[in-house]
Amino acid sequence: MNHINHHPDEATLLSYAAGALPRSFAVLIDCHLEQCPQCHEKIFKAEAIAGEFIEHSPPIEANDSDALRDKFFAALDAEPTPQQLAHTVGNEPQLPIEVVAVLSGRDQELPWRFIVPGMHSITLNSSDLHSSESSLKLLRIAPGRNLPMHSHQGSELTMVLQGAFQDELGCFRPGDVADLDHEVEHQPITIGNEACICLVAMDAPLEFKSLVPKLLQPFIGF
Amino acid sequence: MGELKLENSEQQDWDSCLVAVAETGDRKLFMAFYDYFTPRLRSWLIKLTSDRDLAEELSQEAFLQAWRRAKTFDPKKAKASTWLFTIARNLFVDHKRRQKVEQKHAEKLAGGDIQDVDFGLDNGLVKKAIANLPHQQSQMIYQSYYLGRSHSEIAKATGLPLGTIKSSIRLAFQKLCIELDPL
Repeated sequence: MNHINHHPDEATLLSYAAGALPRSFAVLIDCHLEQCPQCHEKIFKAEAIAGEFIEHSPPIEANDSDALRDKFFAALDAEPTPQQLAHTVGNEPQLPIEVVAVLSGRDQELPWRFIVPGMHSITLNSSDLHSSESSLKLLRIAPGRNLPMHSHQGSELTMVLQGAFQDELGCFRPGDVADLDHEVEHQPITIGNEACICLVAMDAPLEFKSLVPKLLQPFIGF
Repeated sequence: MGELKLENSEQQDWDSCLVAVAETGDRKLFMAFYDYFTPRLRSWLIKLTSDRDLAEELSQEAFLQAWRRAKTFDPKKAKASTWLFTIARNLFVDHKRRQKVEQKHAEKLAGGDIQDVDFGLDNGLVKKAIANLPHQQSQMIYQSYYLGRSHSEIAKATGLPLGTIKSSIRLAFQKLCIELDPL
């Protein structure tokens, strides 16, 4: 397991636990949690707070509660007992196949799309990952390359899957997450001899500082 | 476990109740769990979905799943209420994925403003912990847990910068962890 130095903001972990993150952000957090017991503990705490809210909420008054109770009991009566259900359905998150491919060293098999020299991406656009609200992409940057200076119009989560990059906030290696918003302006540059592959969730396009990337932006999809 | 006092959660050990349900398959015992938590879970789901029918549907399904998965409940890992919350939350998240209600959710935010909200909690440690939070922090916690709003959605609804929203939620989370010691 990698040693992780950069974690998602605790506010992001709370929103994940509350079920309030956009889908693409939640998938990225799932990927991070696979490698980070420390954040798992925080998620458990945030879930426990929600459990307390529910346990101590006032019961809702409803005219139909008796009818609903009868309906539920009838459904329950038709169910096997918990002991008879030998194979209970798990709820483990399924990571996107593209992420699994990168993590298992099969990134060359993926359909990378050329953006600019040294930079390729893949949009993970299965039906539930891509919406007008947020997007999830893989970004592959060749060794020694850097992204233009930019900030963010909305939220952005970036998780390193392979290689490493450095920016004004520090050095990010596999498992690390950069949790950014528009107050952060940075210029990531890859470090080391291998390409840096990141999973990137965004809910708004990047805001480039110089003219050329701004002009290219409609074509590169960021 | 035969004598269940349903009116007060403090008097009821719901963790032991679920463990007993898993061991015995006692449907009446499970209905005690259902009777206590259904009106509370529905109350939360109605706020989250703004849809009574959907809230009812998700609540009923959550209890069926709780029954089916009772053997996976481990009181050393989570309280019964937390376990039930995670089941219901996952159903809500799955529903959002299927229905793509995120867009509708966002539309509802147009022109929205931050309103004073009452968590409506019973008297106890949780109510006190929320009351001790600064107003803005408690509102952010409400918008996250009860309205299911992302940081950007809260920003749209309140006009506050994302950084302010994240720091409010982070500080509130840290304080609630200290006051409630949830694990």
